[in-house]
Amino acid sequence: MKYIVYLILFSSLTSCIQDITLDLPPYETKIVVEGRIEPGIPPFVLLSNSLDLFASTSVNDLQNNFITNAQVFVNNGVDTVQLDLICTDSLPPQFIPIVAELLGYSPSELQNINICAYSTFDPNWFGVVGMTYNLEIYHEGEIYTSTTSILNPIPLDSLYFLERDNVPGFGYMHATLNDPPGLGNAYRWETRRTNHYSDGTEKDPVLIAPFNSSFDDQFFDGLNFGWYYDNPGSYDDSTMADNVKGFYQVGDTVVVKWSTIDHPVFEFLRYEDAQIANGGSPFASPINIPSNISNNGLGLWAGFSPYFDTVICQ
Amino acid sequence: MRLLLALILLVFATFGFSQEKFTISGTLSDKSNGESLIGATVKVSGESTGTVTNTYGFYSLTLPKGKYTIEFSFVGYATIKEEFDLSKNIVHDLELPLQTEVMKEIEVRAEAEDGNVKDANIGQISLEIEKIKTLPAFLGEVDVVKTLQLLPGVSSTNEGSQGFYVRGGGPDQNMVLLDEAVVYNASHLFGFFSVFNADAVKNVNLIKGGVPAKFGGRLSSVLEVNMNEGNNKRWSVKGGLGLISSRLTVEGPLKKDKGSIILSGRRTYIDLLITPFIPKDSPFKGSSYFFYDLNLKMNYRVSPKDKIYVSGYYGKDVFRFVDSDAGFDVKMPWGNGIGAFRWNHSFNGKLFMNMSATYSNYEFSFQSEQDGFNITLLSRNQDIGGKLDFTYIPNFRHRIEAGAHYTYHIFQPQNVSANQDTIEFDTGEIQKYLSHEVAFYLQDEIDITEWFRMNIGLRYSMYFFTGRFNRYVKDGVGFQDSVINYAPNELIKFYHGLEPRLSARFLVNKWSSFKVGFNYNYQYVHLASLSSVSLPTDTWFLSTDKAPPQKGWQASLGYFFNFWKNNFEASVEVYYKDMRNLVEYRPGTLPEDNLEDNVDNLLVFGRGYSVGAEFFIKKVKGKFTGWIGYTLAWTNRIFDEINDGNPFPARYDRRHDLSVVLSYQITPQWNVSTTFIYATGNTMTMPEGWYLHEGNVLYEYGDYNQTRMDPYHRWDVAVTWFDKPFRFKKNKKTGEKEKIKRKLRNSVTLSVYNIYNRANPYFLYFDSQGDPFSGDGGEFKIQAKQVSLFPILPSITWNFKF
Repeated sequence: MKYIVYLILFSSLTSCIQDITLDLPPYETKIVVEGRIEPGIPPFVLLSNSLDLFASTSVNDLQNNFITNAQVFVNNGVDTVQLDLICTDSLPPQFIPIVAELLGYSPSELQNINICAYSTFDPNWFGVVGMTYNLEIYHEGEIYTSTTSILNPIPLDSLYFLERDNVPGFGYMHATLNDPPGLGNAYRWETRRTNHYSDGTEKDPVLIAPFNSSFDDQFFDGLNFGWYYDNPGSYDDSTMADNVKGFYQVGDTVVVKWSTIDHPVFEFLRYEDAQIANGGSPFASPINIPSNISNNGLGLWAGFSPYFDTVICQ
Repeated sequence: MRLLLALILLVFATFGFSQEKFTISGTLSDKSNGESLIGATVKVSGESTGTVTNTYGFYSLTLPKGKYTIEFSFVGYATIKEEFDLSKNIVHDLELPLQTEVMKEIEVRAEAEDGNVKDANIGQISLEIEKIKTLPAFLGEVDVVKTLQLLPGVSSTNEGSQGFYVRGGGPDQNMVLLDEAVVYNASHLFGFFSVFNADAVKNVNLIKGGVPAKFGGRLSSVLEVNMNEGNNKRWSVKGGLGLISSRLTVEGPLKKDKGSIILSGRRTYIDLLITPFIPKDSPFKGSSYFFYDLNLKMNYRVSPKDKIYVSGYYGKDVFRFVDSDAGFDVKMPWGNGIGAFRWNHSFNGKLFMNMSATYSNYEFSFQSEQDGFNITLLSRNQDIGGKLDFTYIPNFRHRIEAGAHYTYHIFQPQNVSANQDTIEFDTGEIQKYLSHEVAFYLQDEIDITEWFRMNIGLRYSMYFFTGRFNRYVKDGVGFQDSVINYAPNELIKFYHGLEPRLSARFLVNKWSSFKVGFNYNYQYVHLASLSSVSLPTDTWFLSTDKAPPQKGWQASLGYFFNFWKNNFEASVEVYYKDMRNLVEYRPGTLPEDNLEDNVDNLLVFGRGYSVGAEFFIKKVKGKFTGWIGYTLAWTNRIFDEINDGNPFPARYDRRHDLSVVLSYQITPQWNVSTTFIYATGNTMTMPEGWYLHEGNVLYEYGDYNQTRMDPYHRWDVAVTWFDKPFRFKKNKKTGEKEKIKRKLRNSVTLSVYNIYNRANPYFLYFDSQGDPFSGDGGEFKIQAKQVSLFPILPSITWNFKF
């Protein structure tokens, strides 16, 4: 659909953009859940409120928007645990990168804002492959529930960097997969460059999901399927010229996190990608992202079953 | 039904009281080129008794035995009066001279005197192509659809939206006919231009209410466009050079006065102009856009009673986007191909027959290649049709029409194939939808009394949805449960229904009348759009076992009056339209959901209604002409699955719509014209709140179409210069100046679009500003942005003919 946008803009080189004020109906906030559980890692649940579209939001406003007065429980079908409220300002420094990665913020961002999430350091509640986890949240008289599973991981068949003929020294990350027979397998791709800039800082402090990072096997069920992804970290990389944005560079060390996910998680991520891609496009229909949180809650309670691999681009 | 039968009996009872009558019949055509004249008047001089020519220029007037003076007249042509002794049936073909070519003593008419008051048509408007050509045009490209949108009750959503919207109906609810063949997508470049090349078009007739029974298949309107037939007197060429496109038309006799041929072509050349400026090493080298169209028409009078026509149209938009750095190549062609064969036969002056065979094809495809990964999307609609229509005119007060229509629909909505090197992806089988649509109709227009004319009709339509077809049955999650395979020609679903039609005129006095109209329609084809504007990617599909036909009725009432010696025509029409089984994609449907599935599995069905009042005043005579149209309307939709079943405004719901079109012929050489448009802003579905997930800003959308864009308004101006038809040359022998007719005629139009540079909204989007986590104390804010397409745009077009 974006090509149609190109065409319209191609045909109207004179288009202009201006700020406007819209009169929107009053907005009623909803609870937003950002929760995940992975093998060997404790459950993390971040709660916040959705916000009015045109509300100005400072760091303080955002900080006050996190919910810290809820009771959060995780159940594995046998036992139940109540998660503790843990704030980033009280985390030992070595935990900051781990939490940042889990919550999708960079460690430097976490230093500017004190985020409080619900979790537990009880190793008995670290994620286990094959388990299903139920989430229960009690907040201001309302109950919100959700369920997710950590499926069996399905590893990549191959993973390799391929230099492009017309852009020497740069290329995409390629992979192949033997998809198990049976419709419904869904996957997510995230990457991180672990090598460093000349000043010693890591290129990608956290894993980054590229655009359209999730897909299922609707069109290649049971087949050996190949694809490639661009480098999502390159777009904010000031050391890379515009004409090589999107590429990995010879010399990059790239960690790929390849996760198997269940259907509701895939649907959420699929629609999230679609909404981000459509943002503002006149040619897209408005899409609300289907949440797996009950009682009109927003967000996602997600079980990820990852397979990790590392490639040195050469 | 009893009333209907009683009226039919009344109609046929008129046969019994006839005295000895004879018929004068024939065709009226343009003396300069032999083009038949549509809607020309044939009447008894000094009386109201008369008729008008049909789409083929044929007329028939049956009168009691006697001597008559008959007047033949048409807009912009000389009126010719001739004496006839009607003691036998007479066939009389006549050629009317153009206004510019007649002696002063011959009467010239600028418009039918009171046709709008006297006919029974309600909600019908014809456009004069020559008038359209002097109106301001976007980038100088004269466009009939854009001009239609200046009429009350007709609108576009905005610039860059294809199709048009009539009285709250969707773009799929307009039957667009080019020489009787269906046009599925009448737009080039997303509606900036229509497929109708003004040089190839003879007349345009829009029916938005009181649709006669001979038309069917759409709920909202019928747009009849007829191509020029070609000059059967001499070979001639006309064309034009504009800023973005050029046109060339060649026409001439196949055999003088018997038959003619016309070939017309148009192509844009933005791509040719831009290509030299794209550097050879640019990764985008090879990207381009252009459209072209070709019109061909031939006609031949086989005998005094028989005439055949062959028409063809082929047009295509071609977009290509290349990014060699990313190894990316996308081609996106789309367009229509249309063919029609028609045979007119006049049996005895009272009975006229038209037989047509038509073929329509609309294709949209998308081909993408990147590093061995190929994906192709193809949508295709094909109609193969036949029509047999009879017109019987027993006397000048009475016209009966009957006929049968058949269409074989072959639709392939959004078939995708994909491969990567040798791996072929499973995107499902090619989806083909096949159906047969059949209709019979009978309609009768009769003057019950001098003041009461009625056009009553009944159409019966049948629809057979047949195999071969695969029905995908899905489970609750959306995975395929099973597939039902229907064999070739196996009847899967049958729909049928009666479609009553009625329009009537009550003459108040010579200058005013009341009119009423009612029509009930079935529509067996649908258009579903995943975007908020109409695009060539929109999916056409047929009624199926899961998708019932759309049904709708419309009732309208109008008061028509002329004043100031028929210098002005005015009307007020009110209407109510009810529509059932309207289609929308289920909320949250994504484009890829169409794959390996039946389109109708993704749809939801609902109803809609529109109510409105249209005010129209038109100055038809003199140097100063034009019109003002204003529409006040409400259009709503109700779908169980959308907005919790609560009504919501359609995206093209427009409360106010005002158009002003004025033209002033300063001298025979200079014409100035102007248009002004004001319309309530379109509705949109907008986010009301936002939240964060993994650092991404995600939006929560509110109820459907609850936000309105700013109003759309625009003022355009055009000045046209015509060269003098004659030049003077000194006679060497006599020494006197002689007037010599110019062989090459020129005109130049200077247009200024959006003269006060209004930034009209094209679409809105949201931009997040600031970073709450940056630590610099800055605020994070979401800002609404409006994109506007065209500022003030001057253009110049040179037209010529010889």
